[in-house]
Amino acid sequence: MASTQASLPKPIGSGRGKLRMTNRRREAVWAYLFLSPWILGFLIFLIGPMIASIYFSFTEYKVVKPPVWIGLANYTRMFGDDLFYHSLKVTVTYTLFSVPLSIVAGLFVAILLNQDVKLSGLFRTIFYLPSVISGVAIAIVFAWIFNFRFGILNYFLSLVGVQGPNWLGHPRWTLWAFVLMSLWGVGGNVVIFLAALQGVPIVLYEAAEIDGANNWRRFWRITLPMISPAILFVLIQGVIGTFQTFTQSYIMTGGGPANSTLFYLLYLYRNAFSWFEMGYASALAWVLFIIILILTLVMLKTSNQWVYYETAGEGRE
Amino acid sequence: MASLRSHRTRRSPQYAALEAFQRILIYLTLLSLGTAILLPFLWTLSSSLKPFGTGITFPPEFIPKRFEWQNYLKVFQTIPFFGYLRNSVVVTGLSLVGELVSCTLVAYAFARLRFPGSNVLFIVLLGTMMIPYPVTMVPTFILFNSLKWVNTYLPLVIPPFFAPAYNVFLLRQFFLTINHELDEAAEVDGASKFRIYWQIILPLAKPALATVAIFSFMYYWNDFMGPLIYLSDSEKFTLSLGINFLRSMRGGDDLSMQMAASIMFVAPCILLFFVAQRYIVQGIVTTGLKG
Amino acid sequence: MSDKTFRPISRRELLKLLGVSTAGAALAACAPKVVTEVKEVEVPVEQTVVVKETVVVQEEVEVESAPSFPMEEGELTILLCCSGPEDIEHRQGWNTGWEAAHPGITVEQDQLPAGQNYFEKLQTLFAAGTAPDLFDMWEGYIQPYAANGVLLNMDPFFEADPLVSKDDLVPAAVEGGAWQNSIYAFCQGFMPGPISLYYNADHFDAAGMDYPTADWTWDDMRDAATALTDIPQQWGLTYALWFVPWLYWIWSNGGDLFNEDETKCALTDPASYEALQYWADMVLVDETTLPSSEAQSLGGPMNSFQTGMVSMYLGNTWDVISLEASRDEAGLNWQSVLSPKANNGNRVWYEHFWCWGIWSETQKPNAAWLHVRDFVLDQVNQFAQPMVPPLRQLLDVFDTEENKALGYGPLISLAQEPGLLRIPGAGEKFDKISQLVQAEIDLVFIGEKTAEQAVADICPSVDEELARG
Repeated sequence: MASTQASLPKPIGSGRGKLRMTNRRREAVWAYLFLSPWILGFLIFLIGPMIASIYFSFTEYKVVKPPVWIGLANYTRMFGDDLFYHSLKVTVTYTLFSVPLSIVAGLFVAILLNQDVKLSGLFRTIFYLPSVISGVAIAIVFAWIFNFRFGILNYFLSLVGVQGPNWLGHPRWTLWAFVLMSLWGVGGNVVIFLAALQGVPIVLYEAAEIDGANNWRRFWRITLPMISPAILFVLIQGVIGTFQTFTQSYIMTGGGPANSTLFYLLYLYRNAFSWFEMGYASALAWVLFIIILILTLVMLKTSNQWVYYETAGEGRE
Repeated sequence: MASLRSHRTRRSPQYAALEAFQRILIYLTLLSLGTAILLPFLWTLSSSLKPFGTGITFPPEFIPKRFEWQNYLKVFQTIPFFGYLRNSVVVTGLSLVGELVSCTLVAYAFARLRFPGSNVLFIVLLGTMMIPYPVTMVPTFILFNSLKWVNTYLPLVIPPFFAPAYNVFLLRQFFLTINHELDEAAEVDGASKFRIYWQIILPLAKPALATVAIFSFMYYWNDFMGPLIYLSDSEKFTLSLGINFLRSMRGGDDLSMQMAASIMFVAPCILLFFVAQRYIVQGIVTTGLKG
Repeated sequence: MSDKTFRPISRRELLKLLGVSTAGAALAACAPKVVTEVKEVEVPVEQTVVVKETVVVQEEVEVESAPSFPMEEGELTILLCCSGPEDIEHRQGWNTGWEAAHPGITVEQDQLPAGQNYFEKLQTLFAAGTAPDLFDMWEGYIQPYAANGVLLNMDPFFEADPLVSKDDLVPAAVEGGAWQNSIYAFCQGFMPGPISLYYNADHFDAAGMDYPTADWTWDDMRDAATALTDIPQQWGLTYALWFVPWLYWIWSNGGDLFNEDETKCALTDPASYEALQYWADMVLVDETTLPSSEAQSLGGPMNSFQTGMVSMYLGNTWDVISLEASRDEAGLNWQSVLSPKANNGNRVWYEHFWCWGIWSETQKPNAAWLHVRDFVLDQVNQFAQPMVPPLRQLLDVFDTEENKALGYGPLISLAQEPGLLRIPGAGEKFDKISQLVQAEIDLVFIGEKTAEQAVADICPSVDEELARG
């Protein structure tokens, strides 16, 4: 597993064996001190419930009754469960499309909002608004936007001669409606990218301009690499987050029609609280965990190819 | 501001024209996207002013026939809005402080310090975000119950002081973009790790801190499940929970009043964002080095 | 994290045994009863929202604080879900009166805002061993909770109580609150679903048609829908989506979801799938009916009726509140009549009910029982929305002019007929099974499959679920 840390400044006095060891040790002590809030929190609040839920995954647990050990039965059941595969497929499809889209859209909007524009503060607030408004209003408005007959989306499509589909009514289209909806919540990514864009030194742009680079080259060769740590964050966070999509499907479609929006977490939630199958839900949760973990490790490992961290002593890329 | 605009040195006429065109394009894009984004919000606003019983017409009516400001008053008459608001401010404020303090400390360690097990611990950190809440909710509740923290704010405000993973990861990524040469210079001068954290990293990471503040605030302000599970006395309820009292499970749902409450509920978030976003773009752009 | 999740079962059994034997022993002891006349105070009802007000008259009830129910002392905890602000206030008022009548016991009422999350919280409280003494229950949860032992068996209380007995319960109340022939939840009231065919009188007038009557069949409704539809401004019919609309269709037509024993799927019976096809045809062939997805995007079925886009709406009792507001605000000229019968002349409904459950491990079973009993006897909830009372002696509370005007008149006699108001069955498995079936029905309603194919496809999965565990 490749190092996930950028290389660090050399401690003072490196080259002299004993001193280096003490310095390393001191640094490690400092590190653990700084880490202590997280480590303590993990040990006190997180690890107990995690172990409990692993235990539950080997039991039949109705929550209102104590758990009963059944060994691997939940897992063997899962691998024969159509809905497990189906919900996984729904979730993976959604993630595959919405994560890259929201990164690109977020970056695009962030760059726009980073320009020297009047009322930029106002625009930024407007773009962040969707992240701020909650459930009921969104559900109603989107139901209207995607309405087959009267909806705005199909209206615009008709203007270019395309017959809009029944977005929320037909199983073939509902997931795409959700992907489009995810774009509306792009504000979070925009904020992160905006903050990241601030960290790109103007000096670099100036130097590049002198060298005759045009906008596109500047973007590709300077901006992107310099904000690549933020892109990595948004990517990994996006995957971890969208694999656990729940609220929209719960509120808007209830997983339908015909299970076309039955996200994995919705299926899990129902097992946990509606169907008295907390044991099975726990098994589902840990399988999801493993899937997300593997994907994250892959992303981290390949990130060394394209993510640029500020390193001491090394020249610019 | 890291704007490309201000660095044009050439001022030839065609360049000026190109610039103007680009500006117009940018404004147009912003305006059209912005309006699209605003639409649902405007609809919520206009719904909040419609009288109970008008229903949702299609196509939607953006300007209500009658401005029923009463809906806003009704909210205050029906639920103890200010009580809930005060509770939300307390809970969100404390949680925000907790996250800012603890997450920066932990992120600094991951970003700057070398220690055995750093990779493993980082993966574990990420791992804590990969477990869906329904399966840990019951054991966590039992844990807090055994600590006798149920029906208090403790389960809500104490965990943020223990560096929740999301913001640690975010801050780590930002800290890693800060040039090391400043650290080194400080170390040569004999600064301790803590001083580097406090006097170099934090000030340089203002945009990231503002971002964390915004995200944290939003998360805790909107948190519904936490208060629902842990609070029993309705006087302790936060606003996110309290405004749901305006709904009734079946029937008699005054949507307009709920929309009015919704507007008032998001107003602080919008305000906070508007103020905080300035700190994001005001960030330090130099590397601190000459030339 | 502790051993609280792993309590031995014997302790729960022991407590139940204790509760039952206390009641039984007290009954056997049969000392001369002390009759205390308790005046129940009429609690003023505050209204902040325009709501149809049904005045609750609280009578002087002779309460026997007899040895059969020795009241415990201390705090009785209640958890409510889903009540609106006026309802909560109203109940608080009644609680205060009840506390005054029963010194030594105080009522601690907690309420959660509306939403499905109530059951998440309740289940968590059960798991942690800190559940409230009394709590709201509604359709879909009573039988699963009873089967899993968290509800207190109320039969002993019914037997011992001088004011109510199990025979006083109307069949629907027994159906809704019972599991394996014992009562586990005392239902404050219930309503059929869907209860009414709401119709827009103006639309009918404009088309020169006669108004619907309580004797209408589905064919009458279908013909009217066809005559009234004028897409896209006006649709003929839409139906409420709360709970499971297709149960009413299948049952009324003589079919069922399961067989008698609940061991096999009965959807492949023509009576079952033909009902589904009938309604699907109204959407697909006649194009007079708004299907659920379309209705959702118009703000929901009731909203589409409220805004005049649909002429007829098969809805529930609680819709009345919003519809009254529409009458005042938007001039919606609506009326209602009992929902139509199937073409075979039958009408079988599923039940919506609102009940009290008592925690099986409560420390105050007697106080809890008395609170519940008094609450039902006083029909405290009638003010929130009309519901058929569960006890025969209370049925005349329901017999008001307003209820008659809404078309609820026949309900009083219908409620006393067994088999007309049913619950789906299969206990805790029902929710999953209904989701499986719904997915297939969705396909029928977009024309991807016929109902016959759909039920053939899904019945094996239903059988599998019924067989599991």
